[in-house]
Order: sequence, then C-alpha cells, then structure tokens
Amino acid sequence: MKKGERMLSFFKKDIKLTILFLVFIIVALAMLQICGTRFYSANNLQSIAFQIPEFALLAFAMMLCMITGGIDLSVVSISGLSSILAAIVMNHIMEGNGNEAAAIAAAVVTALVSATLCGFINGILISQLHILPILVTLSTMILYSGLATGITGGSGITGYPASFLLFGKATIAKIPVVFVLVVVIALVICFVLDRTRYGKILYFYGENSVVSLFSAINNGKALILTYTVSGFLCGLSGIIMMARNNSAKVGYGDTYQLQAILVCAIGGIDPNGGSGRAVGVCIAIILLQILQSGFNVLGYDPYLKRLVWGCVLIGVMIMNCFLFRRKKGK
Amino acid sequence: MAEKDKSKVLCASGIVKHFGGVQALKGVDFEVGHSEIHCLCGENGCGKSTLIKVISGVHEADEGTILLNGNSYTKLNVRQSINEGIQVIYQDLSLFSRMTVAENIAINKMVGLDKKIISWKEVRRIAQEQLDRIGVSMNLKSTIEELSISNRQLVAICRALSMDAKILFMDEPTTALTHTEVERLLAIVTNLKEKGMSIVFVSHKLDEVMKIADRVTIFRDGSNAGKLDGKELENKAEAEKKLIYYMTGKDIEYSRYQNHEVKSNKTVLEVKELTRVPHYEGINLSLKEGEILGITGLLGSGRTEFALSLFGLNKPDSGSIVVEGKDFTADNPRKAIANGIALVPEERQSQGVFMDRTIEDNIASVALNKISDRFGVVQNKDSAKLAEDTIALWNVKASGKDALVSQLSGGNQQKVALGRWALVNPQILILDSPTVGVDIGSKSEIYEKIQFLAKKNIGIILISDDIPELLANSNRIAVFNSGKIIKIFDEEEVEKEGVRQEIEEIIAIKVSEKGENES
Repeated sequence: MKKGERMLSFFKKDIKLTILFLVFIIVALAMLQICGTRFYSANNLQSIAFQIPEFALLAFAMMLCMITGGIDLSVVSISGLSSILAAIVMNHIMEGNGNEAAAIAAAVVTALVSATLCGFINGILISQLHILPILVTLSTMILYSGLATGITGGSGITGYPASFLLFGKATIAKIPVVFVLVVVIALVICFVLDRTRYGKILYFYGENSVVSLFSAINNGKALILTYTVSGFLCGLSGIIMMARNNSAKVGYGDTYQLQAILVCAIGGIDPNGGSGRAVGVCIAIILLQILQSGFNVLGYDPYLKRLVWGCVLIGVMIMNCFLFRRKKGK
Repeated sequence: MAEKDKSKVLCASGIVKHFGGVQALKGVDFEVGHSEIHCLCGENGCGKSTLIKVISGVHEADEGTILLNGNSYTKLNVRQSINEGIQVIYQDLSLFSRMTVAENIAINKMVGLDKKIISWKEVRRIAQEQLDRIGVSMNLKSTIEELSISNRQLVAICRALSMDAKILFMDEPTTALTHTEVERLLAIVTNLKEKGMSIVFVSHKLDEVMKIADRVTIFRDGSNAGKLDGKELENKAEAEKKLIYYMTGKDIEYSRYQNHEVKSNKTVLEVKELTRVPHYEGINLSLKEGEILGITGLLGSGRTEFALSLFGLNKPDSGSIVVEGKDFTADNPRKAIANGIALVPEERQSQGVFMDRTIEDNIASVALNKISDRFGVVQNKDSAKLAEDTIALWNVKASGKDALVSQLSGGNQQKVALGRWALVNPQILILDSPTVGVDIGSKSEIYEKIQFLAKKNIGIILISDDIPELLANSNRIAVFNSGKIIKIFDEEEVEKEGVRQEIEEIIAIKVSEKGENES
C-alpha cells in the first residue's frame, strides 16, 4: 500500500517521464503482438543490445550539453575524427613491431585524448569567448570532419587486430560487452547528475546562468567540463564503432547527429536547459532501437520505417507540450 | 444612473479576476471621468496591474462589467479596448530599441491601417504630428537606444496619441526620471488633460500624486480600499496620511526604533577613489562591523554598478577596495564570497533566485561545498536540513522545502534570496533593493532580519529607492548622483528633521553636463 502511494507520487512528480514510460510499454507490447516471438527472440534482443551502445554514448554527450541549455553539433564529427586517428596509430604500430596489446592501448588512448581535446576546444570557445554553442559546434563539426577527410582522403581505414575486433563482438552470458559498458556509464551519469555537486551545477547553469553567476558558481568551469566530458563520450563511441565495423571512415554514423538531439527531446531534456533526467533519455534510446529493430524484423520498407518513427517523435512531443501548457496554465 | 455615467469615459464595476487559486481582484470598482487625471495607488501586488490588463483586454475578467464611452462589455478584447481609445504605457515602455523614433511612434497606427507597403513619408508625418501635440522636438531618425529614458517615455506617449487615445494609462512612469524630467512629464500630462484626454497615473510616489491628481483611487489586496477627490486633496498633509492608511491598512510611521547603535569601531570595508567610467568615479566609502550603510540614488546613478564591482562582477578601472585591512579587488563572485562579501542582487526573478527550482535547490546552490563530501557527492540529508533550517529561520511561508520558488509570493521569494546568502556567513552583505515587490508584512520581517544580521556584526550595505526605509534602517546614508557620491549623511544628520527632503533633492538635482547631452 505504502509502496503504491510512493510510486504514485513519483509518477505525479514527473509526468513527462511517466508518459514516456507508458509509450515505451505500449510499443513493447505492440511489438509482441505484431512480431511475436520473432521480435523477442534471444538473437534479436542481442542484436538490439549490440546496436545501442555507440548511439547511446553520443546521445549522452548531447544530453549533457542540452541540460546546460546548449547543444553539441559536433558529436559525430568528434567520434569520427578520434576513431580515424586511433586507427592510424593502431595500424602504424601493427606494421612496426606488431605488438597487438600496445597497438590497442595506444589506439584507445589516442581516441579518448583526441576526442576529449576536441570537446575541450568547444568548451573554451563557448565559455571564454561567449559564442553561442550552436555556432561553435557547427563550426567545429565542419572543422573536425574536414580534418578527418583531409587525413584519410575520404576512404576508410580497416584491418585491425583480431583481439580489438573481439571487443565489439564479445558477450558475457549472451550480453554484449559493449552493452554492459554502456549500462555502467549510464548508471554513472545518472548518479553524477542526481547526486553530485557537478550535476547540481549543470542544472543550475541551464536553468538560469545569471542566477548561477550571482550564486558564485563557476560558470566557465562548468561549461568547459561539460563539453569536455561530451567529447570524451564521443571518443568512446568512436572506439566502439571501429571495433564493430572493422573500419574508421568519415561520415559513418552521420544520421546519429540529429537522432541524438531527438532522443534527448523525447527523453524530456528541455532544449532551453535546466530540466530533464538521464533516465528519460535511456528509455528514449531503447524505445527508438526497438522500433527500428521491429521494422527490420518485419522487413518493412525503410521509407515506412522513417514515417512511423517520425510520427512517434512528434506524438510524444505534442503530448509533452499539452501537458506542460496545462501545468503552466494553472 | 445613466445620466450620471455620461460624464464617465470609463466605468468598471465589480471586476473579479482569479489566477488559478489566487484572487487578484475581488470585485473592484474604478471610474475615470472626462478630462481628468486619476491616480491609482496601492502597494505592490494589490491588483493595480491586473486591473489595467483587464481594462486593456489582455486578461478577461471572471465577473463584472466595463462601461466604455457608453458601451457595456463583459468580455473585452484588446482590439475592442484600443478602438474605445484605451492606451497603456507599461513600465518597460515596450519600444523597439533598434528602430527609429519615427518608426516607433507610427508603427501601431501603420499596423492598424493594414497597408502592405509602408510609406516612409507617412511614417514621418504621423510621428511629427504627435510630437507637435506634446510640444517636444526630437530627431525622428535617432534610434531608441540612443535616447534618454525620459525621451523614450515621450516616444511611448506619442505612440499612444497616434492611436487616438481617450484614456491613457501610465504604469509608474517616473521611476527612472530625474527631478527636472519628472517636472517635464507632469507638465505634458497636465497639458494633455486640458486638451480633453483622461489619464490614469499609477504611482506610489505620494508627492507626485498630490501634485497632479484630480482624483485618487486606492487598492489594497485586490479590493477598493478608499478614494480621495478634489476637496480631500486640498489639504496635502491630511491627504497624504489618509493615502498611506488606505494603502497599508495601518498608520505606518517609519520609526528609527529598528536602528541600533554600532558598537564596534572595526572597519571591514574601505573603498578609496574607486572609478569605473562611465558608471561611477572617485567613490570613497567605509563600512564598520555591524553597521548598516544606506545607499540611494536614481537608476543609473552608479549605485548598482558600484555594488556589483564590490562583488567582482564589474571590474573597476582604478582605485582600491580594502577588506579587513587587505587590499582586494574581486575578479569574480567566488573570490568575493571567499573574502566575505555577499550580494543579493536587484532583480530577484532574473538574478536572485532560480524561479523554476525548489527552495531546497535554491539554498543548496550557494552552499554546495557545505552539503557535499570531498568526492563532490551531495548529501541529501544535509541539503534538506539546511533548507528546513533556513525556511524556519527566515519564516518563509511555503508548503515545504520542495515548493518551487515561482509559487511563492514576492516577499517569500525575497526571504529565500536573503536566506541563502546569510548562510555563507559574510562579513559584508550588500542588499540591492531588497524590498521591491514585497508586501508590507514581509517588509517589516525583512527589516528585522537586516537588523538581526547587523547585530551579528555583519557590515551591511542597503541600497534602496525608498528613503523612509533607509532612514529607518541605516546608520549612515550615501547619496549617489551621476556616478558620484554627493553626500554621506552621518548618524547625527540621519536623525535630523527634514533630512528626507534634503536627500530627495540631492537625488534629483542635475549634477553634470551628462544629462544635457542626452536631451
């Protein structure tokens, strides 16, 4: 009884999240009805779990920036550039002394450091020169992908050591290792946003940067940290993409860019900043993947896939809009 | 009845307006006669602005009727209101700051004419015509940003005139004006009245009200509290007393009972020749432990800019700030806090508190280090306790620590803003206009708390427009004008009779050539 009450008050507190959760359940049940066991087969669930990680990391990167009221248009470019740099380093070492472990370690470090640096540059430009995030990251998006194209001439870099590719394929009790990694990262992000000083500052800044300035909060540091972490997550995503595709190439994952923004919006992150929770984004990511995968199973036309998908996005947003307006009205 | 109402251009009766659970207007009556200046007075939040919005058609009244020029309305929309000759000049003036004087004056009329192509000749003609009507000359091509506040106001008046206004509502038009500018505005308003227009003047500056009003209506808590007409206004002293009584519901005499003696002789803050052009120059000040230093002056006189400099947000060009004997100039608020200087900013809703966050979050935001462990993990228990303690200490009326600040009344929002800064144990607390938009009950609570903090040996700088408030609370008062401190009234002088008039005169005099350049 008491538990039920607590649950009810929880749902009342966060209507957006509740609606999202209901939509999620409806979609999941609809899938069961339409595709039945074909959808809920171990194989299909596993393939969903394989597909989620690279995109989820980009969505988290986007989420952090959107909570500050900004945006990061360079997430895909950063992950592309960092994976290309990593691939070059890895192949170089492999051609040299052929030490697999050293090559992999160097590649991972290269990817993470370069991606973090890219994010740091975004953060510096935004916080120190006070240029709008959308303009900064639009410019750096072009810059980073331009750099990547210049280095590779547009072609993919392939041929990684087998043990590196294993990282993208390995499973623990049928659950992909990359999926486990992303779940851990998601939990850390949830905790950081809900329970730490940095998380609080992120929301304060997003809600009203003037008040946070007057509250003696270090706005600049918070912004730089946010875009730097965003870059780091992109780098991680880049490594996973490399391992799963056995290739690093400019333009891979370009569609993720806008999807990341949409997933955040559906997940309840207010583009004006200051509100929304990581849990919502997690549900939205899974929702999207289920829909996508369901259509694959049914073998629908890709155009129809996009159509239905678009309808779901708009539907959720219209619902949020009405709920929000009603709440404001009173 | 009908006969009598003919002399009225506006007659609103029994107006009721709810916003959610809050009753903003509880059945008020308001009449405006032909060719009169009618002052509408009342404390903040008494329903003045709501009534204006109902009459101008922005809000729809829940009950009541509005009679305009003999036509009766129960539901009035903006278009109908404008067609009946209602024009409102809001406090922010609502001008397009990057467009020219001519465009701003003519825009409403041009929109009304519904022409697809704009004739610039026509725009200039309309604008010039209105300026001539109030007898003012102005460069039609200058943009609004280039004008002084008083000239912007005249542009807003001209825009209203272009729409054939019969009744002009002006919401606290004199707040940011110097003495001579106020005189000019009052002369223009009186002149418009003589030409047959009715003006509703919203103000709580009693002397202005006394000077120009033909009639006065006073609201309190969304109801009619009283009215004064011609005869009653003749005896000014008597009328002023009545006005205060109607506004507050009690005979308020600000007394210095709240003020305490400064026991300590220790200087906590010393400012020497501090200058930042064009905000302020050559500021010399000192503040003792437990002292309350009042600062007043018009908007733009440099008082707020000076306060921000102390808090590290407006870096001075030259001069020094000495805190507790150490030379120190804050580059940012964090350094200021670390050196014991805290500031409660002027604009509560946009600078002082996070409106859409809970009370607990607002309090936590200044005490994040206090409530988190060394790994940066926030301890929810500590955060909750801090919030509950602050709510109790400052007597914040709210459903609990999880209430959103936007749901609180102005007074309680301000208590949260003050309470969060008192938490950081400052040596020097700067309060910029802490009682603006605060109801009378909360006001006296805030005064008590200010005195309480001073007794705890915190040096307080209290910036305010409200001179009686400063006289009641401060040990000394510094008066700013055009970026300079003209005079600091010491403790003896503050006690003197007639000091209020003296301060008001210093605030309003034109000090330098600065003002003349603008007009």
